[in-house]
Amino acid sequence: MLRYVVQRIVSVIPTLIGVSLVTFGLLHLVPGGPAVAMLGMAASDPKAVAAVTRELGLDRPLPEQYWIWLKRAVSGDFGMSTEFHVPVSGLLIPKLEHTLILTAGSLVYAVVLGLAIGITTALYHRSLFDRVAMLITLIGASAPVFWIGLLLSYLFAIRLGWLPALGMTSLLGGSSVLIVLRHLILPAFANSIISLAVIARIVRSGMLEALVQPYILAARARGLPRWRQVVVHAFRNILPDAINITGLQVGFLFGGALFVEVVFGWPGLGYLIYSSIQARDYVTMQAAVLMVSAAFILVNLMADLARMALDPREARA
Amino acid sequence: MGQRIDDALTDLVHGKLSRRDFTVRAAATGLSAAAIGALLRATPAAAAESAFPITGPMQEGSGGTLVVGQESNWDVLDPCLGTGAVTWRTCLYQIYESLVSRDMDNPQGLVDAITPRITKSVDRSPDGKTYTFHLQDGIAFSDGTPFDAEAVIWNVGRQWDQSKLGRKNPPQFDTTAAAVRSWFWNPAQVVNVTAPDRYTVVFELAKPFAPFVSGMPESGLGTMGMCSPTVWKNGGTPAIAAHPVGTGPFLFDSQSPGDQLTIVKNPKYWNPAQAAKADKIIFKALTDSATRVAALRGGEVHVIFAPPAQELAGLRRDGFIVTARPNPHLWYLQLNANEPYWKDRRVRQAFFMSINRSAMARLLMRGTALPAVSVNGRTCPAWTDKAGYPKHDIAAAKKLLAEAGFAKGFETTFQIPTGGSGEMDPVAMAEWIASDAAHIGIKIKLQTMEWITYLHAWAAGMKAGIGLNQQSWGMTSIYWPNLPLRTTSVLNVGHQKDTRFDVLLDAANSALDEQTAIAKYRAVDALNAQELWLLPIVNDLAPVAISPKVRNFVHSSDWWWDFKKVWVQS
Repeated sequence: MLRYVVQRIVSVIPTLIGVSLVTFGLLHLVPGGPAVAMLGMAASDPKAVAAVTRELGLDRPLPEQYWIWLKRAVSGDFGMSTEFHVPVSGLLIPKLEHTLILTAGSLVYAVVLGLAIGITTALYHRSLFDRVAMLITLIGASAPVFWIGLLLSYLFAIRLGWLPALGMTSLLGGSSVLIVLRHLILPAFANSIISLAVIARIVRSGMLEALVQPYILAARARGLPRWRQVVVHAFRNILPDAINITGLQVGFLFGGALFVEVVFGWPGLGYLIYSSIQARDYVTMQAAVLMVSAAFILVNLMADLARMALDPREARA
Repeated sequence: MGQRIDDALTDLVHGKLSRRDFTVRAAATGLSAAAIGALLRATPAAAAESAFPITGPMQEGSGGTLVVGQESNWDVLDPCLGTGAVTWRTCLYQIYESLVSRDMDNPQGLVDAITPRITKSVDRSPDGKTYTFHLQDGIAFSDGTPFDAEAVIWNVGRQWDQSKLGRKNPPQFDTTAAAVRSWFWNPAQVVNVTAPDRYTVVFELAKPFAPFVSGMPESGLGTMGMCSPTVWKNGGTPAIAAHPVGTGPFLFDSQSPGDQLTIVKNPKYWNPAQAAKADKIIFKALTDSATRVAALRGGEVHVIFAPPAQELAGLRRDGFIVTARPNPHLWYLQLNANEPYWKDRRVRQAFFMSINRSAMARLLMRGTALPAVSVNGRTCPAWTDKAGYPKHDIAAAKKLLAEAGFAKGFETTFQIPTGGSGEMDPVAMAEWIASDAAHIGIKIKLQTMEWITYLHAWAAGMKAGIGLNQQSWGMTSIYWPNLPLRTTSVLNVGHQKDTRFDVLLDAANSALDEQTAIAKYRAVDALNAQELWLLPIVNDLAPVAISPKVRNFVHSSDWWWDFKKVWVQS
């Protein structure tokens, strides 16, 4: 198992280099560059564009530009944002924290509600509750996140006035943990809906399969209470699959926070990536994508390790 | 059927229905295409001109935290490097001050008022080649650095590229700053900047340049936003944006780039009579328009920029105040002179006459814009509604087109961005223009691009096969027509070669009195009204929605805003 873990960790390095190469290549394919974005209307002067391009080192061959970036990145220097003129690392870390808070909140919704709906609908298979719940999860999984976000904001923030419409803290009233949690309720729910639906559907089908297995019949024959049959025997057997899919959903929730961040004015990494694409801020983009990729890889690794810990057959394999 | 058509017409006139939706509803009633077209052409005349106040409630007082919801991020908090309108408009203008400024919060609406702030007065030599700025004495930047002639010359040195004069640039010279401000320094042809004493700065020009002073405040703080040299000495260029230090009525407090920026009242502002009224201003980037409206309705922000036009009526009904005001903005088209069909002036005139700009402003933009009647912005002293631009007239346009040999029309391609700084609703507006042009047989194919991609293509000039493109700009300074209409200008993206524009612009720029300069710039406008290489379409009124708690809010008459008199009732 230790060997497997080391192998997985070592394989992260070429993956991240590959991601950075692809991002670097794609960024340079997009028309317009940082110089045009920085100059705005003054970009109409080709001499001005050429001067700024030279200043930024963007007139050098692409492999040289990449090598310079890589050398600096390895030493922890991700450069200066061309959009804001501040160090990228100082820009990314707080945004990453904010997106992680949003992702964690979304994950709580997705796991708690996803498991509850999945297990309950399996127990009451083909009942009215099962059909309605599955229809709602289908709609939830299909509806655009930003649309759901706007609907939630309109209903709970504007019409009912129960929850704040935007931001992570109160602009006028401070930033205590309770205030952040209050601001988290709507965006985290909006962000969780697709993952919630996916988890609910996978848990439901796994539970339907598990509930007809001989060991459940045996448990019932032994006179175990229903909750033990369901939780200890059926659910435990589908837990590795549930963890696997949840691990994948963490990456999805992390990457999908963009829309929610824009709709709810949540100051996270997704919105920063969106803004840096618009401003052709290559430096910020490159570092942000690398950070998201690293987080995605790390979460998947953790999910795999958890799966192995829960299912000894996997570890032996 | 009659009642349904009447209802649809009422909705159309009141801006509740777009032309396209009206067409769909009218067609559903069985009305013929010809009848619908006739109704559409006749209806705009019935629509009433929309009117917005230019101020919110005015009341003596002070205090409170003003929260402003902005439609996009600010960029670099450096007066030389910030290029986005949002950056100048809100953040920079409150922290830094410019050598010359405009009185934008005068509710009466001054045109091109050059107001002394950190400069007491400006003298021009009789030959128009020397400008002497007399500075206010006893002013200091908020870090204690004295504001004097040395500081001004240091700031000029950041952006004025003296290598073109065979001299070495000073250490603070910044290539990007020089590139951003090149539109001013190149035509101004400054040859020397000197300080005869501690509070006097003299600019010597190679030849007279009439817009020298009025051009200075353009592009936000323009060329003359003053930052503390000490900040640069301690940390270089990045320190200026990281720790903005100016002489303005507000001090930088903190920022989370791309999210939130806080500035606080400067308790030691050099001019107590003009000190800030609010204790604090928080700028919040809210790029989604629905989110901005939700934030305003939810009481989380007090002011939102660029509210969607369709929300304005509802916001007003619910007690919010919507202000709007003419400013230098011009949404215009440029035609590609290399495309054969535009070579005949009658074709250009016919195309312009086919566009119903009044209807576009009233119906599509729901009264948040005015039809443009000049190449100059409405706040520019050279603006006139008598330049002679042809009026909307489909029959006359068809006749002109037929006389030019294009009775059956032609096809062309229109390059436009999908959004961007000051672009309003470019795709819907381009569709409107295409729909209008189709009435005289001109078939327009739209080619849309994301903003930065578009800027890249636009800056390179129109390629073969592109018939027209679009841009939004404009200045209060009389200088503006030099940019798109001078044949040698890089902004002449349509490649027109009529040197009569250059002759008139040279005469305007070298005029030694303002009235002569204005008359010459109006002559440039009149020439364009005949030749129509640049087609003025609409002027944005830039609506802003504010909470009734906000006091002394005056809608700016320029691209940037002054918040020092605004306060918030608790």
